[in-house]
Amino acid sequence: MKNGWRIIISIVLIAILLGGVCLGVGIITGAEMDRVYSVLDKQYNLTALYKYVTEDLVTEFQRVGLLR
Amino acid sequence: MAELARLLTFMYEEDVRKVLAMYDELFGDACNEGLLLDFLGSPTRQAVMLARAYNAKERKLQINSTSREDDALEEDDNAEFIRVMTEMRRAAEDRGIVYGDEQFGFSAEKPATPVREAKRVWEEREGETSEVRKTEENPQTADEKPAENVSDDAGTEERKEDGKEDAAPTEAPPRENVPAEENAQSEKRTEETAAVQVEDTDELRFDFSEKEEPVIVKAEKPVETVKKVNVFLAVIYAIFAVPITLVICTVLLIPTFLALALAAAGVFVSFKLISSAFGGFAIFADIMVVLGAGLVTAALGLLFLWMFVWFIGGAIAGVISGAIRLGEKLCTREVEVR
Repeated sequence: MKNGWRIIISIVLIAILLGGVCLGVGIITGAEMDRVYSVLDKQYNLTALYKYVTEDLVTEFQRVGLLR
Repeated sequence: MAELARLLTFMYEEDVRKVLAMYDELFGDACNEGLLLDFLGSPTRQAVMLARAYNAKERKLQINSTSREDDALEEDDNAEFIRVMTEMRRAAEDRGIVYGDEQFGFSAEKPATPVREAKRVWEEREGETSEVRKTEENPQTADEKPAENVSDDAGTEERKEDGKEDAAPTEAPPRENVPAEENAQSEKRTEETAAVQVEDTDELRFDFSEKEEPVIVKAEKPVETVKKVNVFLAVIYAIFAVPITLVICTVLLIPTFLALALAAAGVFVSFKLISSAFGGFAIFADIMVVLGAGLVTAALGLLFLWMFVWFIGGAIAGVISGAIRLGEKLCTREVEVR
C-alpha cells in the first residue's frame, strides 16, 4: 500500500503539473474563459445542468429532508 | 548444534559425532563466537555444505576397507567431509576468527576453556578405562578390577556412556550388511576419536573426581508449542468485537463510496474535457486551457479512485484483520507440546 500511495501521488503530481503548465500556456497565449464556457455550454448544456443542480436537486433534497 | 545434529541424518552416526566434535572444537577455539557464527551462517547452510561433500556409498566402502587396519583414524581423516571441515577451519583462522593450530585438534598453547578442559580430563579418563579393560581381559589383573571400578564414580558413568556408544553405532543408516568385527572396530574408533559429543538430549554431563569441578554443557532444545483457544474468552470477545467492527466498517463505507463517486465524476469530466479540447475548439489557447483543465481533473479522479481502493483494501480490511489478531492475542495461549 505504501508503494501504491507513492506511485499514485507521483502520477497525480505530474498530471497536475502538466495541467497547470497547459493552463498557464493557454492563458498566456490569450484564451478567454467566456469563449471556452460558451463552447462547452453548447456541447454539454452546462447552464441547464447548473440550474438543475442548484435549483431542482437542492429543492428535492430539502423536500426529502437531507438538506435544510 | 542440536539443530545441526538433526540435519545430519544422512551421515553415519560415527561421522555425525566426529563432525559435531569438530564444530565443538571450532567453537572452543574461537576468539569471538559471534564472528564465528556469522562466518558459519545457519545450521542448514553447514548441513548443505557437508551433504555436498559426503557420499554415503563411498563412505561405506571406505569404512569397510579401513576397518581392519590400525591406521583407520588417518584414513578416516582423509574423508571428503573432514577435508571440507579442515578447509573451513583454515579459512576461519586466516580471518582471525579462530585461534590457529597446526593440526585440527587440541593444543595446549590456547587458553583453557571449560569445554577444552573437560575434553582433556575426559580423554585422560578414557585412557584409564581402556587400561582397565585390558586388565579385565588379562586374568592376572582380576584382583585390581573391583578397586578400580568402585573408587571412581565417573568411571561407572562413563561406562554407561560407553554402553550407549556400544549400542549407538549399530543404529547408522545402512547397518544391516556391516559385519560384527567392523562394529567392534568402529566402537574402538569412536572411543578414541570422539572427544566432546553433543547428543540430541537435554544435557551432557562430565562427572569428575572430588578434586575437579564438574562442567555441564547444555544443548538447548527448541521448545515446540501449540496454540490453545480459551473458548469462554473467545465467545465474550466475539460478542463485543463483532458489532463494534461492523459499526466501524459501516462508518468507513461512507467515505469509501464518496471517494468512488468523486473518482467517477472526475474521470468522466476529464474524459469529456480532453475529447472536446481536440474536437470542439479551434483556437490554440482555448485548446490548451481545456486540455489543462482535463489533466487536472483526471489527476484528481485518479487520486479519489486510489482512495476508494485504499478504503476497501487498506482501511476496512485492516480493521477486520486487526480485530481478528486482537482476538487471537487475547483468547489464545501457547502451550508446550509434551
